Amino acid sequence: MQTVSNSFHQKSQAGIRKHRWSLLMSFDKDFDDSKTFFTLNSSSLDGSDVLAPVDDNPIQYWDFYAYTPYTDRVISLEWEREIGFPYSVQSSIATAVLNNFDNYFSSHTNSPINQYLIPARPIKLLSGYDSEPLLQQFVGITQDKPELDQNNRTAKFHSLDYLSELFKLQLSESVAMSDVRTDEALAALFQQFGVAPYQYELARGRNVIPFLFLAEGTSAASCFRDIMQAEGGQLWIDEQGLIRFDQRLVTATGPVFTFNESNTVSLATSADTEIINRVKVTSNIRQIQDLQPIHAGSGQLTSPTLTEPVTIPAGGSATYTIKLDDPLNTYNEPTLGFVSGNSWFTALTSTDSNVVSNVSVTDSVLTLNQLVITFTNANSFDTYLSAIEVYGEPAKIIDTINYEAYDQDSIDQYGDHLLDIKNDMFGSESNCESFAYTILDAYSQFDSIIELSVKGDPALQLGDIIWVDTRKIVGQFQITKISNSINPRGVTQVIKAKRYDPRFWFILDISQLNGTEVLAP
Amino acid sequence: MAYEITLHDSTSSWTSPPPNTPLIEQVIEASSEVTTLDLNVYVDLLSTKRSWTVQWGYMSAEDYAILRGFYNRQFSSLEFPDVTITDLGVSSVVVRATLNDQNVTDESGLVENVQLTLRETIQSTTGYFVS
Repeated sequence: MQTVSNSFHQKSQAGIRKHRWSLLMSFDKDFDDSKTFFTLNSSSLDGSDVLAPVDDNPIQYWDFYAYTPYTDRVISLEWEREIGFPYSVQSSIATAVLNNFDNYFSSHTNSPINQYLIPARPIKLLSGYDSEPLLQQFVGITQDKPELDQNNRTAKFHSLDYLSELFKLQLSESVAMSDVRTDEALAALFQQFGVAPYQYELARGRNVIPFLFLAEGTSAASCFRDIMQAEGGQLWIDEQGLIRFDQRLVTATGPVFTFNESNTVSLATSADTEIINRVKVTSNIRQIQDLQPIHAGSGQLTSPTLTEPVTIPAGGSATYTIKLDDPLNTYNEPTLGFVSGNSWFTALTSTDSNVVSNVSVTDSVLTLNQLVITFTNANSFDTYLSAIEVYGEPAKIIDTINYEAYDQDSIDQYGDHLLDIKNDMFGSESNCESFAYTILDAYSQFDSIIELSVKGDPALQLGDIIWVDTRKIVGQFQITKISNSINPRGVTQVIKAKRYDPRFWFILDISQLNGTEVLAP
Repeated sequence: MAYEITLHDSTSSWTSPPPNTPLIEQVIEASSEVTTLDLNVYVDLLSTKRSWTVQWGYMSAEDYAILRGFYNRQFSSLEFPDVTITDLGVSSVVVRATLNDQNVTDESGLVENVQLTLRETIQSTTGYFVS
């Protein structure tokens, strides 16, 4: 739950609630250079300094944009957060419908923002009550251009959070790392996408990936999802815009909010209750090998001579593609002339004389399953690549884990519900086991997923534990989705939550033997 | 108290002759009343705006022309006027103005039963009107 004052909570649950909201956008994406943290006894209230969020988040990249308020044009606002299963990545979206009576948001007009009516405009959404400071609910980037409704003279902006935006990208360079923890792998990806360390806060991951190879051009979404699936934790961008990661066994917390019949408008059991009582994980474990020959010209490692020489034209270049059986951690570019125990190549003239100079490797591109080497010939005559041997450190499959765990009681009761995962990021059998038991622990029983329309509180967050106390349903639930809307017809907050049985994990030197704490799977 | 209204926009300012009664002030409320499972209610207040209906039994052609000018400039200058009704404590409130049909009753151009409705709004992103 976001930290707010008691009076904020009281106002959220008052008989009469006076709502306030704010929509901020930065169409020109200019930075506000004057932005600094608010300093007690030196900054002025309502000045340009940014109040440090109460949660002690560092100031965000987003806070440095010069935003313009568009609150006076708001017709409706909707925002939603949801945990994606089984990838453990949260996503949030927002939609704002704005008054466009004067064509301010219409392209090809004299609108002062005409040139900026393009996708990827930063947007912030805040809500709250009465005189309370507004609480940030969403920060993200607009998608496409605004959707214009000429009849109603409105402009609709759809937005995704920054993490969702990252997922649309592709890796610009390959990532090869060994014995890497989830948080380290995530940090490497964030670094590649230009996310500064102060923009994320990553807990120490539980999973260690023996060899992580992500090829250039791979979709970021699949990289993040595979890494997070093997970890089973949570990756999300919070309401303030800070990217966060939690490992899968976080300390149990108590309920932060109670929903009873006096603040619940409707309550229903969701139809999409999910039971998983059998978990199958298939994972290839790769290990980086010592430097060794990974390719020879004939295709057989014993024979470096090419069966068909490759022509490297005079003053020109030629590429040579090596298909890889295993991804490479590193490789050595070949040099002209035989070298024992390292990469080399030879070239001949048209009369089969050895070329001794001016042919070299000028580029090489490694992807998951191939290495493309560019040879350049600076001679005034054609040369022919005749033999080649390339050395590298391949990451070979040393073991394939086929792990399976199940809950027989649940299978007897509800039938077989399988979660079948094929993901090479699971580093060890113990991690597969831990992951599988965490899933079974959470999903093997028919624990109703409920949907409540509530007299809500904007401070509630995904993952919060709530206590539900109605005639129909009683118990602890964990929030998995929050949908909010504000429009002239009213304000709604709809919460989707999953029954929550807290586990108190055994902590060495703190927990008592034979106590209530259980050993972490 | 004569309840004169003063209209103002970037082109002109005009104080009306005293209107006839009733001068109606209406509150427009954006709110919702929500019933919880225990059958109690709570109210979500979003905002309130006001609206004034002002009428004159008769208005001279000159005054009507000025009043009509404020109405027309909403379309030509894309600008709402603001209204001040001192006797109601209303000061420089931006309004959308609408007029009923013009009913000319004699050759002097005297207009009968003039009804002006003023609905509180905002100028919205001042200075960014795009034609």
